[in-house]
Amino acid sequence: MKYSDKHTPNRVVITGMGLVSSLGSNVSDVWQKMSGGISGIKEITHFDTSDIPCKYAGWVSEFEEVYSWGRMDRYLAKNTKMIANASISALKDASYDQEKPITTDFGMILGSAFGNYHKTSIWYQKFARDGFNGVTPMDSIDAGYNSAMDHVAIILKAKGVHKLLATGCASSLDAIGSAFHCLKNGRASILISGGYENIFRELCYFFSIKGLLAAPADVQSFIGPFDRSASGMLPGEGCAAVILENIEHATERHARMYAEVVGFSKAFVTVNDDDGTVDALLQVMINALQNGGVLPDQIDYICASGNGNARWDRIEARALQKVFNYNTIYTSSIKGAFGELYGASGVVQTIMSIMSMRSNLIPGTQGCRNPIIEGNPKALTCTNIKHDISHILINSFDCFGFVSCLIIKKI
Amino acid sequence: MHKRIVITGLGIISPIGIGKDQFWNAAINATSGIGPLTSFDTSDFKIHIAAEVKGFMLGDYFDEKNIYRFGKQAQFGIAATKMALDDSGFVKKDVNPSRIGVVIGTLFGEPVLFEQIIVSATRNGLNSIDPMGLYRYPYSSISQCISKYYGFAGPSETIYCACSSGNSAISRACELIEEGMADIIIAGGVEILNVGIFSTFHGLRSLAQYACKPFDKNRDGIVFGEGAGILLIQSFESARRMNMPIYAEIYGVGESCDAYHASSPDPEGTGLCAAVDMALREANIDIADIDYISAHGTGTKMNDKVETYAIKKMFGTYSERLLISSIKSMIGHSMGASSAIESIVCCLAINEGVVPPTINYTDKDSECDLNYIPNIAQHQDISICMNNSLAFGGSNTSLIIGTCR
Repeated sequence: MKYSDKHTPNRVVITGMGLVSSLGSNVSDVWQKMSGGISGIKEITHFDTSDIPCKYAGWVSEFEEVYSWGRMDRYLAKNTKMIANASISALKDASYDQEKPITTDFGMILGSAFGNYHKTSIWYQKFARDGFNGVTPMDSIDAGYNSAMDHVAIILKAKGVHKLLATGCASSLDAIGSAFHCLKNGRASILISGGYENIFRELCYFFSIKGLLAAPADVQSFIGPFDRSASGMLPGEGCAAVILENIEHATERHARMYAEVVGFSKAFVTVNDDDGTVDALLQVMINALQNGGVLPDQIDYICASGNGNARWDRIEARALQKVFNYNTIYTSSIKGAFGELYGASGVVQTIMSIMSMRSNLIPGTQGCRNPIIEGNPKALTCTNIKHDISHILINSFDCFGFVSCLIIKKI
Repeated sequence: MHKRIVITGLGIISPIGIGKDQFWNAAINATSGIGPLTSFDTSDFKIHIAAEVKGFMLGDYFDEKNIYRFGKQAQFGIAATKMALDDSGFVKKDVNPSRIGVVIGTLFGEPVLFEQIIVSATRNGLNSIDPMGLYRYPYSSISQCISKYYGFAGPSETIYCACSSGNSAISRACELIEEGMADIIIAGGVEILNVGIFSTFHGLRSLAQYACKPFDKNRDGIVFGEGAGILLIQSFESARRMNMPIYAEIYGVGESCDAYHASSPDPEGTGLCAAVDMALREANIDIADIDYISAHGTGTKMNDKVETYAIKKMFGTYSERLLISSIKSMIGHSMGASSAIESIVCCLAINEGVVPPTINYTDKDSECDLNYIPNIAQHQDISICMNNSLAFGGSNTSLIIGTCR
């Protein structure tokens, strides 16, 4: 399937999922844990937090690598290893045979907010200490923003479209949106899409001093998204990938289809006031619904962007209420369990949404006990609810202005 | 392309000139922008040259004081955007701001700022860092700053594809317009000189000693550059409706990845060929319709050889009649901005009927034996150009730009 000159766009389906998260690296295990109320948030022990108020995060302590990097191993970033794992398991889940004739129909579009900054910061630390003679080319082999994706493309022989998007916390949802556009227009037949993010000292410091992070005394006292006394988010870490495919390509190779991607929209919020922001979010959701030809009352579940930031949680709740006109559409956020995954949040939300669609179960927001009263409090679910799900709306909003919305549908 | 997409405004900051006219005059007069490197101390290094932007004064473009709070990369982006908007005669009140998007390609977020943060944190602890740095810290900060500064509420993205970022951004801009998510996109690339990337290339021994000599027998590497290239890209209908002057039309885009090696191109050039092939099919034109190729031509042994090989493989005997040149011989390699600046070159070549030369060309290489327009600009009617870019990490992008059909 090459570039199509026909004007009917291709339909796009999701056929594979893979992730590495603070709750594990197996999609169904992670879903069981998350919907069972288990949180991935734990005390940060992999770097010094003595001068940072935030001591807890949803970080990945260990994972079993499925690819052996050989002598390259010591030079590669945690991100690279995690996204390689996620991509390989997603391809396996999609039973896509990479050994088949290699074509440019198979590519990658990923997203990340901070890329391999951790590796870059190690490079600059060495440089600050010992000057040019203190660094070798191998120190920078994985220190570029997109190098994690480059290394994975090499091992997977992904020779098609290849790009990385940076749009803050909306990065991976935007990557899925971009892959959706690419497949729709026939510029590829099968794409790996997703995002990666790891957390490190400087990042936690910045978000902490700007007052964006919560500083709970222990894990149990973390107040989750959409709770009226939430005081901030906790950082999260993880990588995830989904396989997006042209429906004809998927049918041809008898692939299992998890869901269809039907609508996507995105925008940038330029205003600073709450009312203006509500209107911008409202517009992006309406555009996504129109783009997918879906009516608001067809939506069964909203996988919200809410992360515990008091202002943005309220803005999102108000915008949702306006779009859905007081109809109670169950809304929850997975970030109570994972923390704010920054650039990887959109794709982890997508994977968890697909799992909730498959098990017809709406996961309650962890850590949310008394939902905020703005918007429609009846819609904000704190406990699991059994519900038939066919359409899901996924939001990814970044507090610096990037906002995106994706709609997926049961097949 | 499923939709007709045109280019209506150009903004450029380059080592040989700031603004479209100054840049173009210098380019067709074979001016070199390469000189001693002054942005940082090079005493530890063996290489001391670069192509730096000279005479860029923020006050020339902005009155406000707050522009200084942006990183230098964002300042370049915002200034080049202003040039592109002014060039097109764009009037903001004519358009709904939510229909205007921003897509910028670059290699590295805000390198100078990042360096300051890490060096300061290493030496004096985390508390010595300016907390406002957070707003310029994420990789997405460049498109964010431009969108915020101009109040453009359409899709905003920063694209990272190493050296082909500029073209990738243009390709993504076309995609967003095709999907109806915006009518106008500010697209292009931005890059500034920084010690991190310089030292990486230095360590890989990819930097040239004295001059950038693309396709020459004695070429010995890249000369580091900086700059910004911003194009105003919009749907044909919106350009028509707004009465905008049209420079050129984007016929097709091709993207691929070598998936071969982290730092060297596939010697068979298959990735570039795939991208060129995809762009030609999308443009629905014949190979003999291409008049001019703005080559990636970095001046390294491997790149120029592979690129020439790929052009011969794709174009067969017609490759001998093609005009090919690399403006990196004059402006150096401005990484993420380079392919966007080359797209501007294609637009100007089409409009002015003259093609800039490859300077510093003296000795013919038996493996690079095409017409590289050595040293003197060539006057000729150009109707369709191809802009190729290759990158570290393997991404290739090919863009076909032609007269408005």
